Amino acid sequence: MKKIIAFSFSFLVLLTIGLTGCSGASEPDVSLSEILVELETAVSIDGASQMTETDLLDFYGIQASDIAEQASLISMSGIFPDEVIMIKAQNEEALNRICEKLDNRLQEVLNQSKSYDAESYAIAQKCAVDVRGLYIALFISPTHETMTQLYAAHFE
Amino acid sequence: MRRFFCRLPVRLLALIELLACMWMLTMSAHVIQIKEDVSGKIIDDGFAHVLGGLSLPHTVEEKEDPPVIVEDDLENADSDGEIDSGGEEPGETDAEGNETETPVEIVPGGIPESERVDTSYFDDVVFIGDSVSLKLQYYVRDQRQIDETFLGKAQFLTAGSFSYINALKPVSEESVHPSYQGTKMLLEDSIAACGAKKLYIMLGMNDIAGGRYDATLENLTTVISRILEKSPDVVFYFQSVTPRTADSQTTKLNNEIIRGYNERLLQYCEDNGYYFIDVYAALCDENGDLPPEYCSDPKSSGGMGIHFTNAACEAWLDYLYTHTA
Repeated sequence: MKKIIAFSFSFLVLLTIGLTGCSGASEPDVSLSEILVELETAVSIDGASQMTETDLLDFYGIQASDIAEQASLISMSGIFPDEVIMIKAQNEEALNRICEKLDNRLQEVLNQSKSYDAESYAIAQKCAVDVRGLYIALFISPTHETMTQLYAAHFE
Repeated sequence: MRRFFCRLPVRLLALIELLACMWMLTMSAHVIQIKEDVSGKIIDDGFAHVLGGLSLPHTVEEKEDPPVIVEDDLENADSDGEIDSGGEEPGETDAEGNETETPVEIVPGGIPESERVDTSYFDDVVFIGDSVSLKLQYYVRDQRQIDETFLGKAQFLTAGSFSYINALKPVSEESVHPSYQGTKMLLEDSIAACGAKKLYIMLGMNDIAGGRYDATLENLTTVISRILEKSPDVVFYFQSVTPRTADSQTTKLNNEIIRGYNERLLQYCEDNGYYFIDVYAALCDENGDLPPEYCSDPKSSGGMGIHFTNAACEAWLDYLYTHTA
C-alpha cells in the first residue's frame, strides 16, 4: 500500500511539473507594452506614433477580434515607413490569420522597394515574421536587429 | 500468481510513470527547439503547420484576356518604367562656374481656385498613387491622431513604385498593387471595395521616364475603362505629377519631362471630361523645381529628390481644399 501511495504521489508531482513546464514555455508571461517602451528607449525612431487597432486593420487587414494584446509603432520618415508590430493573438486560428497578413506586408515592402529604393529593400530582406507561441512580431526598420534581440530576450 | 495480481497496481503505476517521463522529455525538447526555416522566419516548432505553405491571397479572378500594356516604346526607358536616382545631368553654368537655371513660367491648369471646402468634402474621396501619395497617407494618419476628422473620411490606395503599368498587371506574389485592408487587389477591385466616389489619382512618375507620354496615356485609358466597369459612377480627378528638386534632374526623368506629361494629361482631361488638379504648380518654386523645404529625400543625402516633407503635404492639401469642383 505504501508503494502505491508513493508511486501515485510521485506520478502526480511529475504530471504537475510537466504540465506547468509546458504551458509556461509556450505561453510566457510578457507585456508587449513594456517591451515597446524598452524598444523606444533603446532605439530612436523619428516621429514614431503608436498604432491603434484601426491602424492594424487599415494597413495590414488584421481584425481587432484576432488580437488579445498589441503594441505597435509606425513612423514615416523615409520613403517607406518604419514598422514595429507586436501582437498576442487570441488563439491559434487568429495567429494563423495575423501571420498571413504580416507575411503579405513584408512581401509588399520587398516588391515595392525592389527596383526603387535599395536601402529599404536591403532592410526588408533581413526582416522576418517572428512567431513564439501566440505572440507574433514584425520589425521593419534599420534597427530591426536590435529590436529583435530585445524582443527575444523576453521569451528566454 | 496471487502475488503477481497483488502487485499489479504498483506495476501499472510504474509503467504509466515511465511513459509520462518519456512524454515530458519529448515535449520539453519540442518546446525548447526553435527552428528557422529557409526564408529566415523564426518558427516555434509547435506552430510550424500554421506557417507552412502560405500564399498571397488572390482575391480577384485573372482576366481571360490580359490587357495590352504599353511599356516598350522608348529605348532609354527602364524595362518597368521606374525612375532612377542616378545619372548626373549637368546644368548650365554662369561665368563663375555656378549652375544657373532659367525661370520657367508655371501657369496652373485645370480646376481654378475656389472657396475652401469643409473636410466632409473628402468623405468619399480615395487617393490613388505611388510613394509620393504614400507619404500623404501617413501624414494624414498622423494628423488623425490629433484630429480624427482630418481630411474627412478620405481613404488611400497607394503603393511604392506603383504605376499605370503595374496597375494593369495581374495580381501575383511579386506584383505591385495597393492593398485594401491588407489584401492586395487589382486597382478596380480595391476602388469598388472601398466604395469611394471621387478618385484623386496621382500616377505617372513611374511611367513617363524618357518621355513615354503616349504609352502612359494609353495605359491610363485602359485603367479608366477597367475602373468604370466595376464602378461606373465614380468621378476622376487627375492630379499632375509633382516636381523633382533642381539637383536631382536626370536624362530619363526631369522636370521638363514631367511638365510635358502634365500638359498632355491636362489636354487629355479636357478632351475626356475629367478634372485636372495642378498640384505641380502648387509645390514648385519659381524655377519649376521642388523646393528643398518640401523634399524629404534630397540628392545630397543620396535620395531621389522626389518625396515630400510634412510641409509639402500641408501645402498639397491646402491646394486641394481650395481647388474643388
